[in-house]
Amino acid sequence: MYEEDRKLVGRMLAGDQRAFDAFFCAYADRLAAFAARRSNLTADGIEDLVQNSLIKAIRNLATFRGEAALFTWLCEICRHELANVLRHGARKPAHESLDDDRSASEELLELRAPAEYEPPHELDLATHRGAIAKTLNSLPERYARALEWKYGDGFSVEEIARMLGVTTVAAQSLLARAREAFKAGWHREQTQ
Amino acid sequence: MTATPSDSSDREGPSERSLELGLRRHPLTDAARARIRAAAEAEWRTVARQRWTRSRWAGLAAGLAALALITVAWLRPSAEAAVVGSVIRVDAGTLETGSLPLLHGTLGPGNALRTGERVTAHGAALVALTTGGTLRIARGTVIRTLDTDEIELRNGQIYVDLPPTLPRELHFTVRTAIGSIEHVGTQFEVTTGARELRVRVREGQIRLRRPAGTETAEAGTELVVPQTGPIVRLPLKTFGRQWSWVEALAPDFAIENRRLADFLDWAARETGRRLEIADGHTREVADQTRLHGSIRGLTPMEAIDIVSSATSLRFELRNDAIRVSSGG
Repeated sequence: MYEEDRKLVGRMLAGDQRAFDAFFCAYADRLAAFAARRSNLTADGIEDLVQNSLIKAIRNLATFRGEAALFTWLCEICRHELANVLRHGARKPAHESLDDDRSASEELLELRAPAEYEPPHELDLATHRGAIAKTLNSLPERYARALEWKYGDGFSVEEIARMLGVTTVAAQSLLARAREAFKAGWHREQTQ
Repeated sequence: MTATPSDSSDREGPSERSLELGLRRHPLTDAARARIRAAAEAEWRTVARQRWTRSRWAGLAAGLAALALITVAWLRPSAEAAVVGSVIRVDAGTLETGSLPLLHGTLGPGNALRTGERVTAHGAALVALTTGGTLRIARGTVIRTLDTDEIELRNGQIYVDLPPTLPRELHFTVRTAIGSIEHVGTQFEVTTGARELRVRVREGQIRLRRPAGTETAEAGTELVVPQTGPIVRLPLKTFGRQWSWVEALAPDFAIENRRLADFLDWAARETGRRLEIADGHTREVADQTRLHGSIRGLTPMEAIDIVSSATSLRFELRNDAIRVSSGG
């Protein structure tokens, strides 16, 4: 189903340096962003988490069958690693996974801003990120995931279509519906 | 809760720009990304190499392959945690292990150092490598063990001593964010920080690999490797005070009933000097003299003093050589 991803993994297993380069360039930063959105780990913690996730993924490359998108598969590994870290009491999670089917609550939302922001702006940004995350949590998983891929990870519509296993037109349509649902959810959050 | 009024469109719901601002993250610095890449690439090479090796066996009869796999599994019950080496000594501190916060442990003399561990040296440490040779770790250094013949130096200073007697096919590699160093039968020191990598080759030859290309360096050379830009080569003395931290961590040499010649070879290597035997008679005496007692806990220089006072031969410590003669 995910033939391109399967081919990339096949080339990596065959020792193709360019395949590894493409794999690392495509996913390392996105995996770090994925982890950062779901935790309040320090920069060192994120680095360790991403490194451990990638190493675990590479060790298990041969088990990747292309039944899900490679990024989805990597995110699952990263999610398990993150759960292990949190289970061992290393860090308290800042907010829950966007994929969790749970109602949002205030305690789940505390997001970090990049260092380049000055304190007042940082506070605004944290609040803004909290509001965005809270609204996303209230959406169906498919909508939230599509919006996160598009606006959080910078995937193109074509890439999202490939990862969802649908046509580009269907992905565009899904994103449009997701944006509408988000807008409605946003209004609900603002008026509460 | 109110959101940041990033733009006027937020009144109708956040714009695409606002969504990006809310969801996009860039948590990795260039240095962190480089470190992750070095570790991931090392793992990938191992996996690809193992897979290639396995594929060669695939053509054999299924029974033989199964037997081989069973044998391998029996010999290596835990490939993920192979023993990299054994801690011999930790001076004034501990070796802290653990890749996750709150899951730290400590290693002391006699403990095994395994693959996949992140090690912070709170004291200078000496490790006997499973591959043969030793690894000396300076205080304050952070390493990660990637494989039995591969470590990542995250920050600080290490010294790798792989005697020329080890098999030539052994390729010990030290990875850093800036480049990887492979030994070609050697003693070398690696120091790395955020911006620079220094490699000092005391014996043999090393090969430095980095994205910009591959360089080799011989004994008596120091390479200063910036994150970007050209490499600087400097001449290097293989002896003297600059190596004192390495000599302080030298493994003990058990002299009981050993030939004086063996001791001299060891002392010369550990102090980075050539061994000059004045003549055939001196060589004969060094070969036939048997030592007794112990030099445990002494540095190589202290040991030379003690041993020289107990033999009939004359030892002269020159800048780059230890000269041994019959006296006179």
